[in-house]
Amino acid sequence: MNTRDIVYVSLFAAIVAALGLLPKIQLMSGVPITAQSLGVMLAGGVLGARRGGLALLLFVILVLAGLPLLAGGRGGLGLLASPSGGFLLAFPVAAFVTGFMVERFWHKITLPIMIVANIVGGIVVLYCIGIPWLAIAGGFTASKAAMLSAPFLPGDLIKAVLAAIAAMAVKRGYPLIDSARLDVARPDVVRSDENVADVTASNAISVEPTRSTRSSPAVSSADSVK
Amino acid sequence: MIPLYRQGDSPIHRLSAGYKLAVLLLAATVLFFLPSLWIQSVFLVLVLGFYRLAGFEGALVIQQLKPLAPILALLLLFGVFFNGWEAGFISVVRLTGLLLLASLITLTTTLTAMIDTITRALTPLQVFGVNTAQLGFMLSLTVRFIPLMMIGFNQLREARYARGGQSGLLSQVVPFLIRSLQLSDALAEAIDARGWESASSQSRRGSRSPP
Repeated sequence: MNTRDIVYVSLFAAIVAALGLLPKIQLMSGVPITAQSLGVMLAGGVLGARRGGLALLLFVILVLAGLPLLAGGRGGLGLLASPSGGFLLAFPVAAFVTGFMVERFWHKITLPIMIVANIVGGIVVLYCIGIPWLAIAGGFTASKAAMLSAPFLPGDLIKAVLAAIAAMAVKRGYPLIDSARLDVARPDVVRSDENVADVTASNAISVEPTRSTRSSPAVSSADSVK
Repeated sequence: MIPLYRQGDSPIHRLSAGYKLAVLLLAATVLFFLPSLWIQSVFLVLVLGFYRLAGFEGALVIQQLKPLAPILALLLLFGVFFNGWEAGFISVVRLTGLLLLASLITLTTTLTAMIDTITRALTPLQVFGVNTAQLGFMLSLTVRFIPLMMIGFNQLREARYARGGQSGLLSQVVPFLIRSLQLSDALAEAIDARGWESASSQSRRGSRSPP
């Protein structure tokens, strides 16, 4: 990890915290959804496995250390004893798995693949850790615990799609995973796939310090998506 | 953003964070294997006594439990419904006791002491290549950046409203992310310019410099 990675990880941990403080959206079923788990998927999709997982690890440590950063202003060690604590502890693993899949398919990634990566990492892995924890801490059987978690599924699916669209936009405007792989600008490396534009864009990160123009296509594409 | 710590000078405040965390871990393990309503209730009363010892009012106890009241009620309802009266009460009393003990530790330990202790507790992770010195640096960076991120997000939202835009999560998140990542790059350069180097990045740095 170089200094740039360290700062990316720290800032993404702060971004996840900031997302948790956004106002909740009420679903039709009455279950509130928060933007926080959006941050979990985004961390994996934007930073990749190691940096994304580490960003969420930082976030979890700060929440447990007593900062009220979790959606709804919760924080502190009490979360470990609470039935939903497993979901918090699963955040770093979820971000890592999402990032791992995104890194694997980075050069031919499409929106559906990104959505699948978010669902596997941000929903399957999260629930696989959170539900057994809920069952043990709350004294339920596994199926009862799964039943209690089911209402959150529609919201999480919506978030998987939203996070995928956002991660794809960031990939176009500010690709980071590739730049970590290539490390330095290497014009001699010729890519055989169609994403040569991405490679040059990531080279630009390490070459030119100000990149305000490059981010504008991503911004406008996000507006059109909405 | 206000840390949950409450200032004080009680024996509990002065106890080191490591001991407090060890007690919590021990209590959670022991209580899990002792499913007796009597023992669980004694533990709950003991924890309430600790609150007294720390110089906290009863109102603070209520305040700690308030956000969790719906979960506890649901737990009691489901527990009693599926597992019978005694099992339902045991799980709720155990949980209330543990939650209050954990909250007490949060209330009586400063953020700095807690981060130090947790970083130290994570030392075994060095086997997996985690640099705990870097981790400490990143934790303090994050604490500093949380308010900054919130300001940045609000600026973007206000700019959007000012142009007559509706609130759309996606249309705010993407520019927010890109802006934050740009800020990261500038920051990394500033940190490098000031000569900060971590122990592990030193050896690899040579190969990373651009040609």
